[in-house]
Amino acid sequence: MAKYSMVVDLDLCQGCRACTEACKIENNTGSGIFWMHVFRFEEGEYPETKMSFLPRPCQHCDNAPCVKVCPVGARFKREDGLVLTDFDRCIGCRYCELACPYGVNYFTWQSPEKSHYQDVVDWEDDDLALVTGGLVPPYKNPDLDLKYGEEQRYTAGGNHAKGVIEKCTFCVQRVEKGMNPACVETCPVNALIFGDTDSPDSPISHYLRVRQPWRLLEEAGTHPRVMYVGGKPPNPSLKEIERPKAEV
Amino acid sequence: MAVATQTSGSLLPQGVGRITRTWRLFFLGMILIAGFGLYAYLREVSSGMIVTNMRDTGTMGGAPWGLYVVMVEYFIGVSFAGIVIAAVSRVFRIRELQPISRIAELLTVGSLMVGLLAVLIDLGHPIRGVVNMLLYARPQSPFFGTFMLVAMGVLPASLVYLYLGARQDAAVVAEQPSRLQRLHRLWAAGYSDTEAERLRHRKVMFWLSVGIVPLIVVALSTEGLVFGIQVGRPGWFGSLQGPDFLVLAAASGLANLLVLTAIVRRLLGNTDRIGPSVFKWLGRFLLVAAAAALYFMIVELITLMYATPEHERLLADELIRGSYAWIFWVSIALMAAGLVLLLVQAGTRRWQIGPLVLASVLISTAALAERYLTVIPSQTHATLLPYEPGSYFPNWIEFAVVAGLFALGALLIGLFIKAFPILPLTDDEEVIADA
Amino acid sequence: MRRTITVTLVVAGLALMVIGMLAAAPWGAESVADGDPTFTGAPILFVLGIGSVIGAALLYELLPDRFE
Repeated sequence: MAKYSMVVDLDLCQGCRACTEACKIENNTGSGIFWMHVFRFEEGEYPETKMSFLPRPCQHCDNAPCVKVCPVGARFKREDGLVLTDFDRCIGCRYCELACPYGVNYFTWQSPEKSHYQDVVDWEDDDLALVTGGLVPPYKNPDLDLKYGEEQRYTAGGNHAKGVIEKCTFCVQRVEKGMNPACVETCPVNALIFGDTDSPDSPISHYLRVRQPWRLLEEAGTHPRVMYVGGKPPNPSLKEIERPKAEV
Repeated sequence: MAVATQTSGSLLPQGVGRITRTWRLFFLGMILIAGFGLYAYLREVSSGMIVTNMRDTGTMGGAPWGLYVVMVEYFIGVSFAGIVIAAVSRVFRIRELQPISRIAELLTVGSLMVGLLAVLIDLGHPIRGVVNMLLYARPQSPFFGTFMLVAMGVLPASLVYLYLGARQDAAVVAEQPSRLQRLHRLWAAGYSDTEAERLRHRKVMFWLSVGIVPLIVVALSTEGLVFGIQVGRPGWFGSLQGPDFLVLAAASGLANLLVLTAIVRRLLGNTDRIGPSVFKWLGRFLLVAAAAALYFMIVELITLMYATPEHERLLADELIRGSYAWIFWVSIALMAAGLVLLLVQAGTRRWQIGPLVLASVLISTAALAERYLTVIPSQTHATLLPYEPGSYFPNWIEFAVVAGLFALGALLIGLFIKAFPILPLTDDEEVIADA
Repeated sequence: MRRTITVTLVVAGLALMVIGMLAAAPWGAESVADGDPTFTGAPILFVLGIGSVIGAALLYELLPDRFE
C-alpha cells in the first residue's frame, strides 16, 4: 500500500502563493478559508531584515491529535497516510480544530454557497460548450462529490456543508486517480514534491535520500507526513508580515 | 411523617400551586428572555454560526470555541455541588443540610439541563450530534464523557435521585385535592408509607447517594480533560485540568446553591426550616471550596510566571498584563474578596445571610471569569505556529442565547417550586438507619 | 424476587457498560483507517448499561409488594 507524503523545499519556495490559489480553485473553499496557507515571515530589524516563507498544508500526521479527539470518528486516518474528514459524519464540535497544533482546520460558518466562487456563466449551456468543449472549472469538478477510499466516505472538497469542519485533503480526488495534489501540480518552482514514500523509486523517496528533512513542531509528537527541507523551523521571533484579510 | 410547613389559604404546603401576580410576572419575564434566546439561536440555525463572533483559530485569528463552551463548563460545573451536598448529607446524616437537599438536587438537574443544551447549541449539527454519538461515539475522545457520562449518566441518575427522594412527599401532597393532584399521584406512584416501603426507600436512597458521587466526579473530570489532553495548545495541556475543574465546580456550585437557598427562604416567608445552621454549613463548605479554588488559581499563576516554553510564557504575559489581564485580575480579586468575606464570618462565628449571598455572588462571578480564561486565551493567543494573535469577544447573539439559557434554568426551577414542595415534608433523617 | 431483579439489572448494566465501552473502541482493528466502533451502534450498549443500573434503583423502589 502506498504511503503518501509531501516534501516542501523551503530553499525553492518564493512565497508566490500559487499553491494557495490552486487549492482554493481545486477544492472550491470559501472566502477566508485557506487549506494551503503560506506564511510570509520577516526576521531581524530594518534594514537587516530577511524574508522567509513557509507553506502550511494539513500535515497529515501519523499520530494525528485531531483524529484522537474526534468524538464520532468523522476525522480519520487512512491506511495510505491521508487524514480526512467525513463530511457526512462530522457533528461540527470543532474539537479537531483546537487539537491541531498547526491551525489547518476551518469550520464552515455559513452556507458554503454564500462564500464560494460565484458562477457568472452557466457552464452547462450548450453554446458555451462549443467554446469550452464541455470542460468545467476545477471547482465544479464532479469528482469532488464522489466517495473515496476503501471506506467509501464523502471526504473530497466538494462536500462542504454548513456546520462541519474541513481542511486540506491532499486532493484525495486527484490522488486516487494517480495525480498530484493541485498545489504540487501548480508550484512554478517545484518546491512541493508529493508521492509514495514506500516506493524507493518515487521522486519523493529520491529527494529524501539526498536532503535531510525536518518536520513542523516535531516536539508535539504528531509525526507529520509533510516534511520540510532547507530553511529552518519557525520560532516565536518570526513575525508574520501579512495575514489574509479575507473574511468568511 | 409530619407535614412541616402549611401555608394558610391553600391546602398545599409551601405555596405550591399558588401562582401570585409576582410569580406570573417572573414566569412571563423568563419566558420572554428565553424566547429572545431562542430567536437568536434560530437566526444562528438558519444563517449558520457566522452570526456569532466565533471564528477559526490560525489564519482567521479567532476562537472556534466561544461563550457557549464557557457556559457549558460553567453550568456543568455548577451541577457538581448540588447532588454531592444532597448525597453527603444523607450518607453522613448531616441533619442541618437535609432541609435543602431538594433545592440542591434541583440545582443540579437544572444546571445540567441547560449545560447540556449549551453543548447542543454549540454543535454545527446538533441532531446529527446526538445520532452519531449513539452510533459512533469513541471512548478515546473526552467528549465521550460529556455525552455518555454526563448526559446519559449523571443527568438521568440525578433525575431519578430527585424523583425517588421526593416520592414520600409526593404521597403526602397527593392526598390534597388540587389541580396538581394528578401529577403528585403520578409522582407518588402508589406509595402508601408502609414499613416495607419506607425501608426500601431508605435503602435505595442510600445506595444512590453512595453511587452518584463517584459517578459525578468521574464524569465531570472529563470536562477538564477536554482541555487537559491537548498537547498542541499551550495553557491547556496538563494533568491538573480535571481536578481544577472539580474544585472550581464545587466553589461555583456551592455559591449558586447558597444563593438559591436564600431565595427559597425568602419565598417561603423567611421560614425557620432553613435556619442559620444551614447557612453556617454552606458557608463552611464554600469557604473550603473557594480557598481551594484560589489556591489553584495562584499555583497556576506562579507556574505560568516561570513557564519556560516560549509559547506558555507568551500566553502568561497575555493573561497577566495583556488583553485578558483585566478579566484575570478581576477574577482573582473577586475570588479573594469572597474568601475574605467568608473568613471574617468564620472568624467571628457569625454567619449572616446577606454577606454570605454577597460572597457567593463574588465567587460565582470569579468562577465564570476563570472558565472564560481557561477556554478563550489559549485559542486566540497560544498558537504554536507564528500566526498573528487573534481576538474574540461574544456578540449579542451569543449573549442572548446565554441569557436565554439562564432564563430557562430559572424557569425550570421556578416551575418546580410552584408544582412541588421545595423543602422536604417528611423527616428523612433515618434514610440510612436500616441500609 | 425484587432483590434478584435488581441485582440482575445492576450486573447486566455494568456488563453492558464494559462491553459497550470496549466495543465502542476500535480494538483489534486491522487498519488505522478503521477507527470506528467494532460495530455501528456499540455506544448504545453503553447507554443501555447505564440505563439498566439506574433503572434497577427505580424498580427496586417502585415494584409492588407482590414482588417480594
